Amino acid sequence: MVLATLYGTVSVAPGVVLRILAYNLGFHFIGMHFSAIDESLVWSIRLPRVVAAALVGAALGVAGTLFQGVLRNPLADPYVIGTSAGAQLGVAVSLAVPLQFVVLGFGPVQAAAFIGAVVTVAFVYWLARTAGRTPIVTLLLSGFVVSSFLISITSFVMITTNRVNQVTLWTMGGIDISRYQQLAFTGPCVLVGVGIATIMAPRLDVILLGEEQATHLGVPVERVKVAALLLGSLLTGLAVALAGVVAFVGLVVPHAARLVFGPAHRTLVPAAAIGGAVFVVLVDLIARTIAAPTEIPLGIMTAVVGAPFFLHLLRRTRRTYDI
Amino acid sequence: MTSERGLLAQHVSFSYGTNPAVRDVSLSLAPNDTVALVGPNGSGKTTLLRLLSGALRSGTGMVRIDGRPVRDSSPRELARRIAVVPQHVDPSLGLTVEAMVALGRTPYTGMLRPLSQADRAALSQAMQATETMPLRAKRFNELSGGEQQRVALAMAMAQGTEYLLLDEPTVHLDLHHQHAFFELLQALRSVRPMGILAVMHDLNLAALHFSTIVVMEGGSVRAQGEPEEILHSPDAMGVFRAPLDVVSHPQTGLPQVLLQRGPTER
Repeated sequence: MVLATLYGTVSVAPGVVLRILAYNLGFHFIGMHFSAIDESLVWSIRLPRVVAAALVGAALGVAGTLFQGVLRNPLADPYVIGTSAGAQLGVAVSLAVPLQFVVLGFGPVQAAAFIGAVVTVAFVYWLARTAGRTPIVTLLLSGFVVSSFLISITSFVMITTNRVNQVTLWTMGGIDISRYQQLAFTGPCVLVGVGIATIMAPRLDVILLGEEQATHLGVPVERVKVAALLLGSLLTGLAVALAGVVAFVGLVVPHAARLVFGPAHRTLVPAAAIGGAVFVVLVDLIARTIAAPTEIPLGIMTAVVGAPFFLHLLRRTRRTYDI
Repeated sequence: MTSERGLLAQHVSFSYGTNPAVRDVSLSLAPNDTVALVGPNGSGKTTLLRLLSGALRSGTGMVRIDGRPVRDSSPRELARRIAVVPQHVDPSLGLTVEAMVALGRTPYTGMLRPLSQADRAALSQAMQATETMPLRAKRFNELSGGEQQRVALAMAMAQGTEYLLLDEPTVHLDLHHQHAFFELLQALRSVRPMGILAVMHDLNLAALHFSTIVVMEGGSVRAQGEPEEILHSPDAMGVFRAPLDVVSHPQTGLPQVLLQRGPTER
């Protein structure tokens, strides 16, 4: 993260950056040997962005781990049961409706994305529930169908309101952070979410045995499933509010962590959180520096950087591999 | 009657949608008894097992465990009394053997309460008894089918229950591992008494290793009794719709069935 704050479109000498960071962290004895412009660049623009990237990565990494574990499906990612489609519709609608407000530092677009994501998952879950149970296939299919439906509606809203470019750009993902207040809210939320997921880890391991066998081992499967889906959706919603739809992270980071650390959730959840954070911070750094001063959308870069790394890992491991 | 010890099904029926799978079945598994559930495909054996284990809770009739209705017990309470060894555990799971067996202690641990000293003792005892100790650091997906089934049994042993239900536990195993599995099961019973009920496909293994055989057909119990009685009963064996000869096992004298040659009756 320090590394990522060192570099940016405008170059600031590394020594200066470190001095700014240290001074603002309370080490006043260093003295203010830097310009106010450099300080505001590093402390008010670059650092929050790096912190936001880390939060987005951690949230998506853990959400992906939860979804893959509880749906027992290697292709599941945080968006699989409708979060991204719901968030997109939220964004399209919020751009179409001239409404201005700020909640916890977030504007209407970000709030709409979060609400769209969480409401959609709740709806999909309700659809898939029959007789007190939610069969996984029904859940995945409902998620797929609802997503398709919402995407069509989103397209309709975009075209009728002439917002195609804005919404599409948002869909590609990019960290959009302007206030520390946003971090003050999402930061603790993500950390608490990761903590809860780690505590749930032993129960998630049992569900790997299959739902019936988990019942035989005394686990209230349906409750664990709801808790994991809810937690995963909230984390995804936070990530979406901070950075739009960042592809690939939530799918691949959990797999990479599994290849390295094995499938036991006690280590997998923290590993996916840290791995996701490091990955998104690095990719965001590349996205904003590689074609400077133009910024490449983060969602494009995650796959470009992540895919070769993941394929390398997959080939190197060569183990028969499953969730 | 209701305070009777054992796992007891009384007039149990269950339908999948409108298809009746189990009709008015009553049977009992006494503590330390062994019961084999046999019957043709689709005769309701596995459904009955799921009703006994509490995995299926709807349907009519009553399943009691030591007098207490299974329906009124939480999954956690049940998991401390009944363990189930499934037909096979997902063979691609990458957890280590030790981590898998530790899952057997789930009914005694909480999310904030990890393994206690007693849990660890139960784990190493279960692994020692099932001879899975040497495998403990290996990943489950690296094991052979026989080893995987032994790990599944170790997991059930770690649960420390008085009743053990098995669903065709050796159906995917070769002769060596079939033999080893049932000998192991016998050995485990001498260490700790357990009531064992298994769905069995192989009548000969059922006759060799179980004291009671229950024959099911079309969701109902057609006959139940000792192997000697059941395998010699033309009525009970008739459900398999195959021409059979019954001979005596040379070593134990228990009945064994042989298939005859000739056209299949329709």
